[in-house]
Amino acid sequence: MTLKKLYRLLIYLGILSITIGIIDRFTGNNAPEQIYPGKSITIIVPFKPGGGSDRIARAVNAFTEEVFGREFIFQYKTGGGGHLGVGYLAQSRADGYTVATYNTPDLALGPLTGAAQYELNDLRIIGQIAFDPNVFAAQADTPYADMKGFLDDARKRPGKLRLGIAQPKGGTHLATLAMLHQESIDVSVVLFAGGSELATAVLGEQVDVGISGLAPFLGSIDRVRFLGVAGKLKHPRIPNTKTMNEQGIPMNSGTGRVFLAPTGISETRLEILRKGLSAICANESFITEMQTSGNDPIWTDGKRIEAELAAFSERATLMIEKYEM
Amino acid sequence: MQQLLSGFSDILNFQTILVMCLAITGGIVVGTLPGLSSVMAISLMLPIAYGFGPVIGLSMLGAIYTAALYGGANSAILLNTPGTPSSLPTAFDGFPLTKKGKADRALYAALFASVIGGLFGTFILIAAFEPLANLSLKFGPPEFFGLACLGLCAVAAISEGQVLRGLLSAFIGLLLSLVGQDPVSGDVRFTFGIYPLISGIEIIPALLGLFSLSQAMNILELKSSHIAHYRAEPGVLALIARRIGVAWFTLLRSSIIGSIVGILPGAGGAIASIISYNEARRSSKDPSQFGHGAIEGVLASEAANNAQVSSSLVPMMGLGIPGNVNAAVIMGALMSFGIQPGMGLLTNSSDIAYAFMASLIVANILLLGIGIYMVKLTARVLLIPNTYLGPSVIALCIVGAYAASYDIYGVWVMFGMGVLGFAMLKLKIPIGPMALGLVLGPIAEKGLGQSLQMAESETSLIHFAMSRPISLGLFALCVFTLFGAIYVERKTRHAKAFAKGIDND
Repeated sequence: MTLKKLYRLLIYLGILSITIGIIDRFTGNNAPEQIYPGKSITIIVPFKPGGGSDRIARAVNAFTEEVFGREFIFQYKTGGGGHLGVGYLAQSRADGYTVATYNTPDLALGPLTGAAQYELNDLRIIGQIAFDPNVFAAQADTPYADMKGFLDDARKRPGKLRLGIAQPKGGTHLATLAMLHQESIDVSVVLFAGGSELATAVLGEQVDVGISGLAPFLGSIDRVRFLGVAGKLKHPRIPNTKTMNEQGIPMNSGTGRVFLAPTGISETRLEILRKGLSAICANESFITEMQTSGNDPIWTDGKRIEAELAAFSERATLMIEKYEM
Repeated sequence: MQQLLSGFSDILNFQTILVMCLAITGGIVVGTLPGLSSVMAISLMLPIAYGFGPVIGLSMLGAIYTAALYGGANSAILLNTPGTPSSLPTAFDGFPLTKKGKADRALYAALFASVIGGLFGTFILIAAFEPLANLSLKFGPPEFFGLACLGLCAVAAISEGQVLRGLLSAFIGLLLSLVGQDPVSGDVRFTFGIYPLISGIEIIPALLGLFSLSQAMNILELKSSHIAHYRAEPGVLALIARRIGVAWFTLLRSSIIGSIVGILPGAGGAIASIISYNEARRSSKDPSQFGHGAIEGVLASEAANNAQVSSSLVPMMGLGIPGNVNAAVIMGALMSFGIQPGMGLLTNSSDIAYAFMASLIVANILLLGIGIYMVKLTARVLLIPNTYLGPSVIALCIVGAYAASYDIYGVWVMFGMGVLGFAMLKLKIPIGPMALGLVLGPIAEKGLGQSLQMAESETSLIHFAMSRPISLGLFALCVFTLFGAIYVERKTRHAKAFAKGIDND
């Protein structure tokens, strides 16, 4: 084939590809509802591959073929503590073919602290597949039997004890500051980038007590004493640890793993996604799979989460102003 | 010991070895190409690892990690563009060697040093991962601050002869590392309204720009047809093997530094290799050679960064807390196989744990064999004329920057840093210190910020500082390093003066 013919062929192929692309772009939303999802859904994971969010998304992905006919396509968009990826989702086409996974309450906090570029009503919440309550942990030799003991000691020695918190300006940070304020406790707060860093600090006694999710402690659970669970219910993995409420200290803090879609998605498609994900959540094999990585899946419908987050945003705005976050 | 031997028997079968050989070859290629990183390769291969099952899957991932960290040396030596931050110091002496036509010496030296460092690190992992994991816990924020400062002092020390420019460069790097979120308070700064900058100047796109892009622009500007003249020297392998024998202490010291720094979660390979490089320089008979083609520099840097590979798995395997992104991905793989890393690892899943550790030893040995063969191939990059090499590198930079940051903004960062790097080349300001400042800045800042928060619970800052012996030791080393730099400068000056036959006193 002569060079000229080759160039011509390449140009034709180029024009063909562009045409197909344009057609695809404008027909996505017009596909009949009955065949949705007719093609693979892209899931945006706002963290690095191999991390907690990724593993959960992969666990869900193992069952998407049964429920949606095809597996997800994974797209990673890291940065800004995850807010960058969610922002990217907020700007994606609301045709039901792009979803994302992220956490609450950081989802609602981001827009309020300036860490996020999106607004909460740019997003629809498909649902929450797991809620991981935060736990207060100390190194096993700690003199404290529970958080009440720690807080009582903190009252006697204001400013002398150290409390580590994972993720500055995150939900845990806010909830802990609120609790400390409510109980009139003065401790030195040390902030850590994430759960792993916090767990290392707790194990190494760099802080007296730390609060984060349970997962980073799973590998060294025998070297840690859990002083309290910051959720409404006891944590199934550490059933002997009292909740903060049981200790007389009201607190409800944890990480909810949610799946999101951009606002504008048709209600029909949103319902299909909700039905599908809740079915996966009820699947025995999925539950076992999730439990091996320390998560306990329970489906909560998106409507309820949206309402909870709206209420949370109101409270959080006041708290952020008060604590100058 | 018994369990380790049974681990070996799990590994030493045709299928596993074949997979590992392919993994190593792929890993070397990934490490060599600027822009592709070990994390990318391991993440891409995760689904395949799951398919293979725990023993073969983990061996494959470990082999990729090992080979990719070594591979970074290739691009550092041949193109003056480190494949990963930990290969930065390799470029300081590797590239001058290339320019002198001795690229194959540097390449073989990097290979041998990587294998020796890797084996050392793996033995440490196997022998002592529980006690080492406990040791790593003693490093808190003050110690990390001390370590980062030590790295920065090492950077200052190696800028001998152009101290002001080196420091200027390092401080520009530190300044750029401030962009984005404050690592302790989460406050956003210096983004100038450009939202993607909230995650700061990401290191991989920045390195690509600073080194690769600026180098590509440089070679396109040069009138010469190739980067450097290259002709395969006979007997290089034997020559290098002899040099290794002579430099055994440098290799040992570098491996120890790499192993120790590697066990600290979040410390990173760059700290290990720069400290190791500086120590080698300080105790060398002729420190002035460093930066101009001293083989010991390449040996020190590469031994440290590969020793760090295995030891970075220590906190992950001993405590279930990953020390860097590579370890995090491997931990994800372990957990997906139903293995919980951490204290129970050796009791509950000892067969797989030991098989994995055995595979790391085998990977290093295979790396030696495959590496020797591939050096001949990789060196031939130098035979590519600049007119093809330049644009190819630029294309790779763009792809790599996008792949690393999952966003087009990474490409803009890469271009911006590339222009900056090129300008610095022209102004004869060294770019190495800037890159190190960019890497060490966040570690130092986080360490300092958290230490100050911790100190609030103490009677005074001084009181707090005095209560941390490891951190004090590190600061003492900082002072030692800086004085050492002055000492080295004197030594060199006297050596030069002596050579001229003039007594300078």
